[in-house]
Amino acid sequence: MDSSDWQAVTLTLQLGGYTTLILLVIATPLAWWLARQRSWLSAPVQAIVALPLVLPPTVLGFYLLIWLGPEGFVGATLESLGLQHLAFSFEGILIGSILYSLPFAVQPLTESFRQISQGQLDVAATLGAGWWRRFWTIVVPSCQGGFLIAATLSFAHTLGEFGVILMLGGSIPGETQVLSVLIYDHAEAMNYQAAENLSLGLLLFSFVVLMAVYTWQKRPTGGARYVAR
Amino acid sequence: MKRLLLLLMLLTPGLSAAELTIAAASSYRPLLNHLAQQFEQRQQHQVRFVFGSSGKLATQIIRGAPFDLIFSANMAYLKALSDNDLLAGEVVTDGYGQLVLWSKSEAQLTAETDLVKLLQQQRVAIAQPKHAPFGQAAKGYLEQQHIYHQIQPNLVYSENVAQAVHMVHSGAADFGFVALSVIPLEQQSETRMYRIALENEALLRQAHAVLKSAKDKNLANEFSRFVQRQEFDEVKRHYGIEPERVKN
Repeated sequence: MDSSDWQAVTLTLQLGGYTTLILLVIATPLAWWLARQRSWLSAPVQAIVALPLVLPPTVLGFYLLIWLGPEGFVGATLESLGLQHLAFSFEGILIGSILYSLPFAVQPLTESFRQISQGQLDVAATLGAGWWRRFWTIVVPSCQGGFLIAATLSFAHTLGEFGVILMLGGSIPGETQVLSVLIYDHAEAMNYQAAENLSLGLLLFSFVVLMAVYTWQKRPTGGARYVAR
Repeated sequence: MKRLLLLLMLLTPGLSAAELTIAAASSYRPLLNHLAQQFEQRQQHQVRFVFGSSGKLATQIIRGAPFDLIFSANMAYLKALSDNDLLAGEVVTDGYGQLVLWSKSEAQLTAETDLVKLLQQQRVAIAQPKHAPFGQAAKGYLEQQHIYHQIQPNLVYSENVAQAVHMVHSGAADFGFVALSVIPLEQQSETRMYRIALENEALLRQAHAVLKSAKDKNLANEFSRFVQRQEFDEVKRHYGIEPERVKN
């Protein structure tokens, strides 16, 4: 592993970390709305959220490249404000990752929000708990499994991202060249040893992360204690 | 949560020390890696590369990719960039690429070899002619020999010429129309390859230019002048790119 490999490792972890954090913030209200409200908008919103599951990553990558680039409506707006457009940048692939992993965060959360009884929330409300308190003392503890799965899947799915990043980010070392793209580049340069090391590392890491989640999930009280603090 | 944020901040790298970001055709990879190493040693500036097919890189530049220089295996793409007003300076020719038919095993290939017979039932790697210059040159050669339609069913397409070499090298393809400059030096044995003489050599004119998007134009120009030094003619030839001044 040389310095460019480590650079890609750091970049990949950063991308996964930021994607997961931002997704939890975005997906929580969205999932809550989907789980608790019935509206004519539910079906179209659900369909949009699920789109990345069925669309080829190249389609998402293509649209993002057009929109975030200097001539797209997002990129051009940013440029007219004196900012940089987002194609071929870390911020760009971060946006791509968030959209691409959205269903992996929203769907587990929606499922677990549906399990919460309205009665419990109403009781808390009559005892004077505001929505913020109800959220932290009822929703978070009882849905911690959902949050954990949402976070893990978002993170793991981002590690496995390739097509969107290749299209939208290119392969710029230190900026958009994440591990999956670097492995592709190593194979192309016939650095098989380097490609093998990174692939094996990614395989083991993904396995350990998933295994940790499933092991943790089996302990019914473990998480409750953590959150109760 | 706080700890996680802290960890992320610690991880934030002082974005790489590279001062030059260079987009380069795959056929340039071994040569440019060598030259950049020299450049970094002598001038104390860091260089990073993004390799791909010339067409793909040109499209990325048109779409706003933040590169300082482009090295292309085909003039047409530099022309397209120039038409889009994206070049900051003159187009500089580095030399000429050499198209070869490369075999995964020993094969006596000569000008008399009947390609149709040789490539029958074989898998033949070729870089996608739509955007890869060596693929275009190979397709052009086969068409000119009037055998393209016979060989076409055997062709397997790669995204760029380095991938075509990788296909032959790994044994996935039996033959490949590739750039001499990308074949690993220790495997450039004459018994495994046939150098294809193109009617129109300008097809594989390898050239570079500084881009308008260059953050530090002086440094980009410095790299451009550096690779033009006569002392590197031998290196270019060594890596399979024939410098122009020798031809004149």
